[in-house]
Amino acid sequence: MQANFEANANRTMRQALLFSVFIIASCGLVYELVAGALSSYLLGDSVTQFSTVIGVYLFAMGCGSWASKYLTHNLVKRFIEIELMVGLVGGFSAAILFLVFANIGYNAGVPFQGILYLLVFIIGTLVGLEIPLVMRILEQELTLKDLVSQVLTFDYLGALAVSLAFPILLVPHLGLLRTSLVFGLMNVFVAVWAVWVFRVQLKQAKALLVQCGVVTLLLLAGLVFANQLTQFSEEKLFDDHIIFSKSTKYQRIILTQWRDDTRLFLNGNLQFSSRDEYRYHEALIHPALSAITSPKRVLVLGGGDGLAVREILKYPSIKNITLVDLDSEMTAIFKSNLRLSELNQHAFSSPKVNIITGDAFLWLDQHQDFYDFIVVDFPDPTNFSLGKLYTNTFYKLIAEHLSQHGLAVVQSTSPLYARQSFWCINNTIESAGLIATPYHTLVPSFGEWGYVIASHLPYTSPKYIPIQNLQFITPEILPSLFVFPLDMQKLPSEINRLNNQALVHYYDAEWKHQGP
Amino acid sequence: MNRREFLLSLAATPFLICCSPEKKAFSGQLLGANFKAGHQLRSGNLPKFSQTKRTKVAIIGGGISGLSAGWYLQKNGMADYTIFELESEIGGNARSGQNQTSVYPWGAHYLPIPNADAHLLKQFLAECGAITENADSAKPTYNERYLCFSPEERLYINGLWQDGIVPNNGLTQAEKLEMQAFEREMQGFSLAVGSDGKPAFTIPLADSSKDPQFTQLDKISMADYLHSQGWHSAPVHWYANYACRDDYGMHHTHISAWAGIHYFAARRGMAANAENGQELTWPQGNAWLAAQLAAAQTQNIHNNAMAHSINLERHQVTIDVLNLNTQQSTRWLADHVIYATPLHTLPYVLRNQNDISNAARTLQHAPWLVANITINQPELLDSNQALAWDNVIYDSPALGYVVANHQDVRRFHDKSVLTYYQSFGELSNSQARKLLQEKLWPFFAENIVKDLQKAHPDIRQQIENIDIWRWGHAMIYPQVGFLNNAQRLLLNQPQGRLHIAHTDAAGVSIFEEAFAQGTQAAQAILNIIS
Repeated sequence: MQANFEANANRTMRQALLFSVFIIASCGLVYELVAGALSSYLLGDSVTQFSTVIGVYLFAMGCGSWASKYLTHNLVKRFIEIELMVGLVGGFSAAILFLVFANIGYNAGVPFQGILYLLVFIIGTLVGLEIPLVMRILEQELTLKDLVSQVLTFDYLGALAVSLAFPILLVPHLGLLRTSLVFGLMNVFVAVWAVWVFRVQLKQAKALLVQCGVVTLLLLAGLVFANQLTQFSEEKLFDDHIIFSKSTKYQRIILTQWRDDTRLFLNGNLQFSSRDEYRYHEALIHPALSAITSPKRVLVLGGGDGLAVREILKYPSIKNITLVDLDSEMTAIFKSNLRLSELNQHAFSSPKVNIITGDAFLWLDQHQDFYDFIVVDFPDPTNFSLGKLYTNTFYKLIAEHLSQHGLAVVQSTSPLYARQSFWCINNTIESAGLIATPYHTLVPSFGEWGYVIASHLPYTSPKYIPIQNLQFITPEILPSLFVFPLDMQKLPSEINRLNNQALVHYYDAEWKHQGP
Repeated sequence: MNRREFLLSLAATPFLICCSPEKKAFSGQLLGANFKAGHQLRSGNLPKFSQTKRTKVAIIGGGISGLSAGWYLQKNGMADYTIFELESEIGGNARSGQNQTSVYPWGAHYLPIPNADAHLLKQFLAECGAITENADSAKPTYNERYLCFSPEERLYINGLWQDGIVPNNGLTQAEKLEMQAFEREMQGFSLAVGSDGKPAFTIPLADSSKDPQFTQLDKISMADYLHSQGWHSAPVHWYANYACRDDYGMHHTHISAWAGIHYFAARRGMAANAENGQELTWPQGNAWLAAQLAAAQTQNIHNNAMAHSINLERHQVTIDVLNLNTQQSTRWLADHVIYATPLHTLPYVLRNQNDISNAARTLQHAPWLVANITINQPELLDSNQALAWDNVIYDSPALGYVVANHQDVRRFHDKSVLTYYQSFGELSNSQARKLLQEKLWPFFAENIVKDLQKAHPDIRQQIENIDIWRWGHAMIYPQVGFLNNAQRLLLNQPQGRLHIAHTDAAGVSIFEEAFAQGTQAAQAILNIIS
């Protein structure tokens, strides 16, 4: 066979083959970069993704190079076939990964990675075959010295060209999906060119051209439908539609909607899911409020979504509710937005509700009034500024504003995932001279969640709940909320003070070990 | 940032540099003690007195020493005294300022929890509500609004903020070991008791042990002491030097090792609700304490009143006091005078007693600069460690900044005031004073911004105002040999009807020493009178 090439190998052909080395090298690197970029994009942790993709890819290329010695006949035909395979698999690699991920989703990182590395391995092996084959095709034409020098030069030049073009031109202008498809076409182009150059020697030139045509059509079809494909995958990927997002002075508010589920995120932390927020809010309000005889004056600190107020308004004896929230934008959208005001049953439009925009700590400092029921519903103590609102100094202020027979309830993070933090809040409330009565319930979207009732007089859970139409709390289940299983039982802790912020340290340590 | 953004940002860098907006302008002014009055005093161009008044005790100076003396007299039923303060406001080094964002200190800004045996000081703190329970016990309960909120300190070192100011981030193992050895040694000194049964180091420092094994440390500098222990590493020297610069305004090559160690080993205060040695602080700094001391004696305080001539006579003291507003002098006749003003003024005021004037002339004061910087978006200063109360930059000639409104309970602040401190250990005192007198606001403001940019590259955009206070003679500093210096000891002796009460005489300028100086002088007078 090789003797046959020798006669036909002229200068042009040699240049053509070297040029194809350039293209082959470019394509090879593009597939590697696409796989690395896509897995970083989808899975995060770009260092790990790029390292493992490059590792697998280089290893596969080694395997390909090693396997090339088993290809002994019809080298040109084999070369053309390999080009078509690389073009097809590499060209569609991004699309395959997107679709696989969209269908398996985040929950199945491992199967996705299996397919990722398999794909990378296949492409790497095929690419690993290419250069040894080209070198052997050119073997008779050049001395070993020139052969190695020229082939490797073009190989590395191709790599350089693509590594520069990839971030600057390709990804910004074409996107990952189209980039891989376009380079797939370039592999096909090399194949077609090889058919043409070696048309005399090739016995089945026509059959090969037909194969080229089929692969070309597939890739072109991919290009045409690339947009739809991307959209389809991304919709699968981010199935919750963002219906509202706003960065206020204090936080980033995001609302998502998926079917009948509305979710509120503050700074990326889930605040409620409309599917089960009734559990959270009924458990927050009713154990305490139903135990107060004829409650009249209520203070809500935080709770700018109005869902706690919705529950409080169910008690006809209540005369007024003062809600102090830092962020006027929060209370504004939960008052005016149709969907959201439906969620809180237009609580903020009630004449009984007085919304105050202000800092809760400062407000308590500057006001004197007493309340029968105080709701303390702040985000978890993720930082020092929030940690202040869980200190003994703050709870002493609560005590000063709580009527003798009144009750306060404090959202107290999860006694299961942040057990030490939960009991730190409990113990800090006790240290402020209040009686602490801890309880908990399951809120599916949060997990096991905890609250503490704070009072001047001992709390007893009511035998009777004076209101109708609750979905979760009944007098029968109430006592069970106050029972803590072994894995959530009381722990000793430091008292959370302004001058130690012990809670933020506990919370930080505990949630670091959980995480999604 | 992904690779693409990174590459694009590289490509865009030259563009950003050439097109970045002009340096953002911020306002500010240069402030300082009443130079004019000081000049008038030195020139001796003063009006003769036009009237005569009487007071039993005249207290010259309304800083912490003078206010403490008055507070003690009043507390002990002695109301016939008058405090003369040169400035329009009391407080001395503990004075404060205010803008729309916050009150802020112009000088001293904290008080560590006092030692168990500081009974009088704890009594005062209980009176003003800083101690809420058990003032007499070894572990009183402190008002948690005044205990420094967490996080208390952070240090910018080797490109990162770390928790606490003891250098740790990026240190080699050997440096860390040396740091630990140093801390252990200081801990040892803190617990040490001398052969006379007294603690090796305590506050006021005059109550410390006279055991030579400790007092001989006064013969070498803090830097030499470290070397003598075999500690040569940069972080240990930085840390000890920082302590000297922070408390005394001078490099550790000039500070007595005894005093340098005193900084670390004299504070053993405990609390029921705070860690040992934690600080009490207020947005206005120690001006809060000054105001509490002054609260019950405002009737006795005369502001803008410069005592310019003191004559010690056999049966009385005469003090000529110039009202700086009216430029009229009044001759006050008193039984006793407490001189509670920086002592470098004494030679200009005291008409006899030359030996005292000569002793006062030997004192060396370190100059300081304090700036109050109003910034917006304080949360941008958070970085890898949240903004703390005290924020120190390792590679800085200054001492870092304290957040004046740190003790504010609110979750968010639109703006904050940073109080920036700088001492000038690298210059001679006279060079530094010359610099403070000659340079104008833009020079100081620009240096401050450049220094802060080491840790906060974008801070310029946040700055709205920088006010700068120059302290030409901010405070005494304990030089090598200060402890048994005969001149200093002379200043601590009662001189008939003249009683000196100032940290200049103590040798170390801290609130507790001023309080002790003032109350002890008052007690001495009460002893004589009764």
